[in-house]
Amino acid sequence: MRLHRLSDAGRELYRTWLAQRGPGEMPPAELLSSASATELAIDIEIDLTHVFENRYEFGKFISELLVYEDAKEMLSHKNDGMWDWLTIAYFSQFGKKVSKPWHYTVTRRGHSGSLAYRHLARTAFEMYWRHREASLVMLHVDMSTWGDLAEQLTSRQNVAYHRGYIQAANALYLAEGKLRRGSASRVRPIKKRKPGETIGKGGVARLALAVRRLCRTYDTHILGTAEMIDLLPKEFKNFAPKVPPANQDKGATTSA
Amino acid sequence: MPRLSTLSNPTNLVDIEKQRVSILIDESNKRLAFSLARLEIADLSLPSGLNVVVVARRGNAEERVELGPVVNWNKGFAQLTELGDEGTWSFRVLLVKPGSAMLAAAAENIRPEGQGDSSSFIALEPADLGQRPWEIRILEQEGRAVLCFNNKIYHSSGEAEADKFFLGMILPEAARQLAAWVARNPSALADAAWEGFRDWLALHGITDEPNEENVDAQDEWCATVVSAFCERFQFVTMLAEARSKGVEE
Repeated sequence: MRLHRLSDAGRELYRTWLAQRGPGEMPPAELLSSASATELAIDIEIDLTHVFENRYEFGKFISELLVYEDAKEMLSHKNDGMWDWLTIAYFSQFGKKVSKPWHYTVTRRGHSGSLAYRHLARTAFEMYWRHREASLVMLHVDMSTWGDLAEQLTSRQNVAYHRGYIQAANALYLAEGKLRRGSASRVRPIKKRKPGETIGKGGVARLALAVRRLCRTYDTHILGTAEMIDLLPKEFKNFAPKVPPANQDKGATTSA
Repeated sequence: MPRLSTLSNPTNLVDIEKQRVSILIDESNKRLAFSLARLEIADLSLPSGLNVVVVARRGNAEERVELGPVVNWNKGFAQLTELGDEGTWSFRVLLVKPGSAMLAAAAENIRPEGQGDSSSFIALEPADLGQRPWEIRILEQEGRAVLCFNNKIYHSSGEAEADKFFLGMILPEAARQLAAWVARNPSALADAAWEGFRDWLALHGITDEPNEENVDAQDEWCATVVSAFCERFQFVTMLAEARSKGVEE
């Protein structure tokens, strides 16, 4: 089938359906191919029978499919309907759980700003396009899962786009494609914390803070993975890989 | 993780004062662009051969741009493709040795020309807000908030500041919303960026940190902050005077 997008009317219908859908239900068939709800987005063929092991595989698949397209244009407002259509096309994988609607439809206005980053399909593409293999840390989960780690890594653009940060997170928190224990834990408030408690220390939430502090004295965008891990405080040592990671590509002329 | 001390400077980073830097932004075309128009560092005794890197920030987004050697940096407008249409602009100007990631000098929190430079923790800025008269945005990384007012009501922050009724009626609620955010995120106060707000609280006798678990105690803490804020700026006196002046006229 050719790559389609939902029209405005199609998106409206999809949102209404999402608001009242029950477990195991599939979107109305017209949202996939009817002329009233969809339109051709890009004239390329897409295999809708493909089964993905995780969202990383999906992000890679779509990145390769859209390799000749302008990625930023793909992520623009104009193509929100395309990401919604892709979610419908693979709904048997994305929709196994009944999660909040913003995981299935691009939501530009939420209670605290844009929630577009929470879209399961769109963010998989964006993170793979930006970070390639290093995006595994946030996309290693099942197609239907968003996850706390993805939330922590993608909710702030200055973190989500920071190449060194994501590469360091990938090296610290993933072992053989799986998340290391304690990676997503958070440090408890001081009043709840027991003396000597280390829960959350060295975790991904603390990494954001540590990198922000490093920014005061280093141009962190050009730090290689091994260099950045070396500069992190002691609490990250438990997560540091035994074999130092190779420095991945450093910052280009313009990087976010 | 030990807290950063503002008194130590182990890497001998040179602080470039804001007055030495001018940045212009161009929002007239579809794409955003900026120019580092002025950077006066001749008398700072910096090492030679440094390169200029600018980090542009808007809202929660940032973009890094290299401008070349400091002796002849690119003064033209550089396009920014990663930033959105909304949020407050701020820039970092970094000087680094080629091949090194360690900063030799930095100018932080630079506001572009014509965008005002409020160092207060609630700044005023015009914004396109449709039919909403105002909204407050918390700039977590900068330790302050921006009160965005509708640019159809006031064209500049100076114009908004001159309207005592607007300030007197709106600022206390803006302060309450800022305090409520801090009360929900008390760990932010430990961050160096929030030092200014922390000092302001201490100066007004508020040394207790908000209670993270007790919502009633949080509300009480917010009320204390708002009272201190209103006391400091004497809003009621200001409004009463403005009103009586209006009646007399």
